[in-house]
Amino acid sequence: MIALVVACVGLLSQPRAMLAHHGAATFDTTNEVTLEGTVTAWTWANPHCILRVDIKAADGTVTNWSVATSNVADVSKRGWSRRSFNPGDMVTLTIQPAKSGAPVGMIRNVVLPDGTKLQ
Amino acid sequence: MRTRCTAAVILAATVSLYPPCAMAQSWSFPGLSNDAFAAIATGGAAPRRDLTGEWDPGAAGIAGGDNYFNGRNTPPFTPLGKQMVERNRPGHGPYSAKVYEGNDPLTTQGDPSGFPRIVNYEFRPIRIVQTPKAVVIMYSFNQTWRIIWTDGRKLPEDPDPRWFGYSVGRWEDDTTFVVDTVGMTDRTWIDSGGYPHSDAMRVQERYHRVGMNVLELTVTIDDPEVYTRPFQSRDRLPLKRLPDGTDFLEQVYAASEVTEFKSEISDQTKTP
Repeated sequence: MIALVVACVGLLSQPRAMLAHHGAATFDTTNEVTLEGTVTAWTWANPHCILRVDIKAADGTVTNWSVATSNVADVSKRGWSRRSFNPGDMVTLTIQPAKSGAPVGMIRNVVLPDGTKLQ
Repeated sequence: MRTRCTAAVILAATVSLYPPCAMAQSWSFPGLSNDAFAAIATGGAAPRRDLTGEWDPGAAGIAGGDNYFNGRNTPPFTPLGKQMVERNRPGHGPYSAKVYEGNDPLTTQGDPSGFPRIVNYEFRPIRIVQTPKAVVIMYSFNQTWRIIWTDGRKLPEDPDPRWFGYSVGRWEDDTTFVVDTVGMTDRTWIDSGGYPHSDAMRVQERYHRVGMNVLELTVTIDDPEVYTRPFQSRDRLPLKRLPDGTDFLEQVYAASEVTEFKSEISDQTKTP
């Protein structure tokens, strides 16, 4: 499993209102990080839905990341649902990580096993 | 040629009179897409003294981030206003704080939006019901409501502050309903930018039904203890009519979910 691919791609067309309720100052909005991992939990909630994903590093260490998207109403309009993820699903995440280095971030998009891309 | 013209006129009239009905008789409608919002025309003449129905303010109602006024319309603060705004740590606007420092009562503690924040930020689809004595506005955001009395009563002179204040309304003409509100607790902000208010704030809303399918809202805030002059937080914001029977998505900011996000995400962004 590939652990971490860092891509400095700058500010792309960010889905509207992704950070609707919280300032972006402490997330790295200039960088995107792509992670592949296994879903452990998916919380359908406000003000942000939270996806937890186990990411295995090259040395075999597993870290559980918590990454958030926007609120239920906004992501519903973009095709997300409370059934979008199940524990055990393999996903590819593109996120803006926290500058603190903690395993948290804001989701730019998620690619599901069937190739569906949610953003 | 005449047949084609007649058909076109009938089609245009039909489209202008009725908003899209794809969401009728379904559940948990999250709000119109930008394209669907733009496609709803003013429609025929407004009915007399009638705001009844389901209405969607669209993306401008949600007004997150840079889309929001965040002080664009606010006049200078009074000395008290300066003191109050310095205590606030919002997520947006010129007073933005880092995520982990935020103290937005709505998004970090799960407090009610209160009024007028409910129409300034996260203003999601609403349902309006008229009775002989009141107009009731039900907000899908946080599943809450306001009662605007139309039975001739006067506003209270020394009210105990409430999250949503005390409201009375009157018809200024057949298509314009004017609401005056007092008695809002100063624990709420007027927006997501941390703009404060005092218990002495007065707010006037003007609902102007410009046609069958469009209702315009103007909101004027007058709080001489905090702002040096009145200002408008909404200037003819259009609300588009949804089909009768539209069921709204429940969008509650439950305190348990708000604090879960804070502890699991926001607090982790703090650099050691």
